Amino acid sequence: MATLTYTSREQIEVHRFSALATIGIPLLAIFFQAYVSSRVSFLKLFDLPLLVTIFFAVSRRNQLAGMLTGCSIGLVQDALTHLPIGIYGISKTIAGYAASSIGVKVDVDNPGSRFLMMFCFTLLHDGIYFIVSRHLLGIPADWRMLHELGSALANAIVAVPLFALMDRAKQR
Amino acid sequence: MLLFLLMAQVIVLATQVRRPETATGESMSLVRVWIVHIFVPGEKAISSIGSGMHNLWQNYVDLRGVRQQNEDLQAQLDRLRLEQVSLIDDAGQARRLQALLGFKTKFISQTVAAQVIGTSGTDRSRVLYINKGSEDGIGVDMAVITPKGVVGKVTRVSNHSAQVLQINDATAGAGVMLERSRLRGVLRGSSSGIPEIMHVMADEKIEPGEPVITSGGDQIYPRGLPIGTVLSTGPDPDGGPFLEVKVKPSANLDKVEELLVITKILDKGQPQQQAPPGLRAADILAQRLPTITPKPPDKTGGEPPTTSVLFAKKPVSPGTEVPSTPTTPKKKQPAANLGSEPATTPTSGPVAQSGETAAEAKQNASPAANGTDTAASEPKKPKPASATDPTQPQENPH
Repeated sequence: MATLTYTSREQIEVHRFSALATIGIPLLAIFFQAYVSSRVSFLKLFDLPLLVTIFFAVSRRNQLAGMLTGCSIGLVQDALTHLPIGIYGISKTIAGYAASSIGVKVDVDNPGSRFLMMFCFTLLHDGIYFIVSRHLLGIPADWRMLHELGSALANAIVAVPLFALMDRAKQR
Repeated sequence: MLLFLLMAQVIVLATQVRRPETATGESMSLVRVWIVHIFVPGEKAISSIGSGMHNLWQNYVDLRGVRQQNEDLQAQLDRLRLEQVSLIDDAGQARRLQALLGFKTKFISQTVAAQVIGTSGTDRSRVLYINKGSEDGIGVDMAVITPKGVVGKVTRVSNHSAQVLQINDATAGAGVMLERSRLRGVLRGSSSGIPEIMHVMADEKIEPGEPVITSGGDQIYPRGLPIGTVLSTGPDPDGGPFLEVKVKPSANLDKVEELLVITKILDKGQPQQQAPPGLRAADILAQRLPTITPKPPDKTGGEPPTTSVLFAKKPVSPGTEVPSTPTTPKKKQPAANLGSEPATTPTSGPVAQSGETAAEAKQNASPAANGTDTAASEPKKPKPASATDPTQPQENPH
């Protein structure tokens, strides 16, 4: 009888990434977000670093890896703002943890589930960001429901082709 | 887990360690320094490549119709020159009036042009990164503007880049004034990116479209810079006694590419002058009494002194008696003539108000002393006694 291991389950594939992809893709996403949105302002509606966090978290299906990925990307993103370092860090750490936890149980390669997952995780991420910034740090911030829903929808739409593109960086 | 703990400790350490900036004395956390140093060179490189290609296109390829445009612009320039003449006259008049009223104004004396190379990438933190830093003279809390209006202020500076907080960020603020109603207030950004003027009482009448300018009260933005226009007014959503006044920024804050950082502001106002010892306010007042018409020439051949001699600007020693002579009713001067009237007519100067000190009185009497008005800055010389009919109006000696 073949030994069943965590990685041998047919339904759940654990993917690995090269060091270049692990470091390069998040940095590219943050760079793109910071540079291009200075030219095309509506790109601020998207959160490419969050997309990358969710992608790596659900692909690796490891909660610790998901946390660390989210933490690192969030802290770098924080450093580019004028706000205290750690708001995005906390939000993305939790989002990474949740995404990797979901990834163990749900088929995350299906475009429909990717769309739904990204929509929900964007709302979760933005909700945590709002709570931390408004209630923990007292930074003036408003919860704009329509804006948040629009942002979640935009991220979900972009996630489907972008995840398919990043699938090419997977190593099995 | 070990890696996580180590990373967490490094981050905690890094956020505590601060590296002092050389030029400004401000500090910047080490994490921010690392991240900025990672991202800024790439952004600068791409930005310069992009601008190089843009310049290549603009300077060599896209030059069709330039001759016609040049002719049109030349015609426009001629027209503007004509307008400029009248504007210079108006500006001179305004300066003279300001000097008379003792206004102290601030002028932008030095700016540094910079290019936007990046943003925070999110609308939760409306910041820009520019390609000039402390080595270019940029410092924290310097105002950043475009020709259309205020953009924001510098919040962090590294050697070759700086972070600019836009005025529409939720944590930003500025002292503002409504241009027509002269109502002052505090402008604050919001999460939506539409700044609002805070604490305006509900009974104030504010019309949409009214220009909003900086008031200068925040000591960051010089007075009079355009901020934007009133977008809308409405009742306080929190039910308070205030109006919700939304402002549309003049500068297109979503598409700023080039901007100016105000690195030096010059205080230009009336210098405090010391009254000469022994000079009393009453003496100065005596010098500024209404014009005294000189007596007609004496038949015996003796010429009366002219008014300029009588009221020459020299300290009157205490106890000197001013001859009691009939006075001429003062003609009301139009404002345009305030600065160009004869210097020898002391009645043109403002009469010292009650409670005015001797120094202030002298200062007001001599608006040219502050150097703001070049036309009136020449020393006022007493007109020499002449053989002409003294009853005739005196000519401007300038």
